Amino acid sequence: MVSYLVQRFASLLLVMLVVTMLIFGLMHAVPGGPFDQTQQPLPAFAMANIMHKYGLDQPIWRQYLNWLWALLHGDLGIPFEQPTMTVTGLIAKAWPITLVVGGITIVVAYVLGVVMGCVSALRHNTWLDWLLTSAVSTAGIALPNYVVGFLLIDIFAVRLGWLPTGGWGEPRDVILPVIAFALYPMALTARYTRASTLEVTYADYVRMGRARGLSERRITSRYILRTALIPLITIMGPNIPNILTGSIFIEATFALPGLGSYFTTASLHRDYPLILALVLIVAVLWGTCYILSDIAYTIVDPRVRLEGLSQ
Amino acid sequence: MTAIAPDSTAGRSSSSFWHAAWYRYRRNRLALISGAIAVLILLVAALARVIAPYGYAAQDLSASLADPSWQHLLGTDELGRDMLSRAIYGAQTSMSIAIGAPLLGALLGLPIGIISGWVGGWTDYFTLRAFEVFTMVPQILMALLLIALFGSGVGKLVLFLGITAWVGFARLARAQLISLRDRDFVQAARSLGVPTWRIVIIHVLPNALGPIVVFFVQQIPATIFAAAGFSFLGLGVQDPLADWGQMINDGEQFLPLKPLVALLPIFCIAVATLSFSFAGDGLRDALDPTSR
Amino acid sequence: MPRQRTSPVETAPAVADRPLLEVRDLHVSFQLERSTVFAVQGLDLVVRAGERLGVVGESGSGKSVSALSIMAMVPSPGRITAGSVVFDGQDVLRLPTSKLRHLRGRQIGMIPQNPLTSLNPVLTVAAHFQEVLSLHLGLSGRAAARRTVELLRSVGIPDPQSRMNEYPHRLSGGQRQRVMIALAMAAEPRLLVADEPTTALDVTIQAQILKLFDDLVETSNVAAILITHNLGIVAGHCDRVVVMYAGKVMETAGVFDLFEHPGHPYTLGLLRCVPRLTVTRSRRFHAIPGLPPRVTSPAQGCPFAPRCDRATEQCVSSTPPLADVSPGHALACWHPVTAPPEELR
Repeated sequence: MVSYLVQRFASLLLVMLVVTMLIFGLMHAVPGGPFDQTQQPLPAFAMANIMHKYGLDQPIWRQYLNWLWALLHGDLGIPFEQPTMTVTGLIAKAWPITLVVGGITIVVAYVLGVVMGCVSALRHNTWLDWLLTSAVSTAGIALPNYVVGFLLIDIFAVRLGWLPTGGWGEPRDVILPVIAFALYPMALTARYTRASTLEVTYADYVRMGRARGLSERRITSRYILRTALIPLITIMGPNIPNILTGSIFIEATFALPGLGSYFTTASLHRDYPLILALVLIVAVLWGTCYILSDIAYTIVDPRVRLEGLSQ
Repeated sequence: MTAIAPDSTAGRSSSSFWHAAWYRYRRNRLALISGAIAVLILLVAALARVIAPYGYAAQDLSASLADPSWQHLLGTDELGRDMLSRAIYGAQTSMSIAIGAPLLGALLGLPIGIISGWVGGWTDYFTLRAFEVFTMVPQILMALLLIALFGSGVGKLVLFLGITAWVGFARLARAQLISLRDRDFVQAARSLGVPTWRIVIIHVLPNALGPIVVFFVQQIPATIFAAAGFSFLGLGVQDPLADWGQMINDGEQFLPLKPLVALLPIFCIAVATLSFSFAGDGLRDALDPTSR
Repeated sequence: MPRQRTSPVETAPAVADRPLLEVRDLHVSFQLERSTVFAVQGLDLVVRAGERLGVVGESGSGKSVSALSIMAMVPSPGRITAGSVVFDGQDVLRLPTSKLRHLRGRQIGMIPQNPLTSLNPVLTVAAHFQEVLSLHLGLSGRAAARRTVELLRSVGIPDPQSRMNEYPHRLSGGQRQRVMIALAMAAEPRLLVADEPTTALDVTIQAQILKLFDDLVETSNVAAILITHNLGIVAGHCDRVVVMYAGKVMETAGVFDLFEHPGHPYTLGLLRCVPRLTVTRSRRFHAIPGLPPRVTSPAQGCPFAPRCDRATEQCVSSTPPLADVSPGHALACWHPVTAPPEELR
């Protein structure tokens, strides 16, 4: 099991490197650079100075290696747009915001989603099932999250004035973004949970459990839910890194100064160090979640114990 | 020796399979209605120039933000452009992207998935690594980067959203290939000396087609969201071309006074998304009734 | 005591005064979207303590549904629409859920058809036993573990101490079925209901499981209902037999009686279908032409009439009642067979 993990880890590391190379190459493949300001064209020597300062006059592969070397020393560089800060500093300021919103979103979306899905399945074909599946699930997938956010702002902030329209300063600021962000994953989770639970409800071993006189409560928790929730790991797992790195749309709609908004501005301004750092974060997060969900699966499902894995 | 393809006992006989699927689809009322609406939207999109009463850029500043009237059935926006026409043209824009991008993704991804699944070995290994590379950076971020670097517009959106969508199709195709490659009817064909390409095209693909079509339809709502999102941020379709996302963005400031300007495109997105989603679900249930 | 016409007569030495299980006039139907399937129409069954009853029939004859009805476990959309099930004097169908749960597992044990899907994949074998033992016998901890080992040993699982901590997917089909049997016996029930327990197993394993079944029944004096489509099994392992077709009882008799003097044409047909290894002259495979019906209306007439070569107008228009032809042997037929052909000997 350990050797499997090490293997996986190494291969993911390699893939991450390829990703950074890809993005690096992409950015440099486009004519023009971060300092091409059409409004204030810089004189040639000033331009040359800046290019030299940021090492942009060196061949690409050299620049990449420079970056990699610095990275291994924990130095992510200096953002072009805000030379007084470091990339690391910038991220340290922005990420917590995204994490708070993302973290709460995950909890809300997954917990509520699972609960709704279970209730739907266990009360299959009743009005409750119908309500939850059609109304709630449908509402969740009908509109993109930024449009929902948009509408929420209009109703609760503009018309009712109960909540702020955006920005980040007080605890109340999380409420609307979380609602908007969580709706879709919640609906998706509810749907999958319901399907999975329904499938298990009619399984033979559930019937046999009942035939041995076990109580409905025990059947529900130990026989139905315990097995139905396993496949959810594969569904919910991959979404977690996405949610934790923020949605560029949500952060734009609610004016949240998080990672997502930085990604947008960095891309538009060709802020190479910042972009690379952000991509790296996303990749690392994704790789981690991937391995963690593999592990989680083996813990939760006895049929998938890795010691039995003969590749 | 002429290759006599054996009657696949495990594979399905084409016409009866699709017939049965159509029958199942028809019985599902939600899917049927959704499918009809989806087709309707596609028709509207295709025939925009014929149907729309006004051009999408036709301004009439004297009639700015007008209420619905006989002249402008759904009112006008701040530049006096007819909302109904803009919504119709918006359908054209959105549908072009929503169908075009997944199509591109399919064209790129399916061959890769098929070859990788069939051949296996190192090819497959590298394909899997490629999957990981392109999954590590989420599609939206990648597309954003491409747009920021290379510019925007309908064509570019199709290109970028399409390129970044190949992984889903490739993965699916690969999974299908792998599961079908080892089925008895394929083994039988191989043992009879049927050439590979023939096996793949005549025997394997028809069986694999179902889930791929379902996936394609399911990608449409996601693409609508993405395209509208970029337009919403100002990075998508450029003015004066009409796009629902951009219309929402434009209409935002007028919500208190003239909500219709923003609500109309919102409504359009919702209807389009739901109809394709439910149609996709219906397709999935019709093509494989065991998957619930 | 012996009642004519609608109930089969009890057989020879009565082990106890009253039968352990009495099913009277059971009707079960399934309400589907556009139709109703009448799975069981008027079933009468009697099982005495220590007796082994075989229920024989093709797929769709209603035998599995009958088994589930005994424990009031008919899955929706099925419903028991009429009749009674009396177990040890209690009317099962009117019991409150709490008492029903006591019945299941503790008084009646069930052995399912498919051992591969009948165990909870996330629980160890030991955990399965622990649930039952603590619920019905109040055992826990070491006492439960000891009893589990005993039970596993009694069904022939080698090395029970380590086996019991395994997860079900590590056991073979035959082993899992043994576990199911042990689980069914764990709370010391008085009746075992085995629904085609060997259908999903290899032939060699089948024999072992059946032998195990016999031994258990003998040592613990538990009564058993063995449901099967295989007459061969019935011959070797049952005392009495009930033959079902399309939800109705066609014939019921003691096992020897049934094989030596089959009266119902359907039973005869079934017997003829059994392939024999020892034949002196070449014989063709016999098959009963046609297919068993899916009963969507409580039809008149004998359900077997369409496939019977002895059928007449009367058979089609009126339903033959289940009547005794000799002590302990009842038939539902207007034109029973009196002298079975040579080839059956």
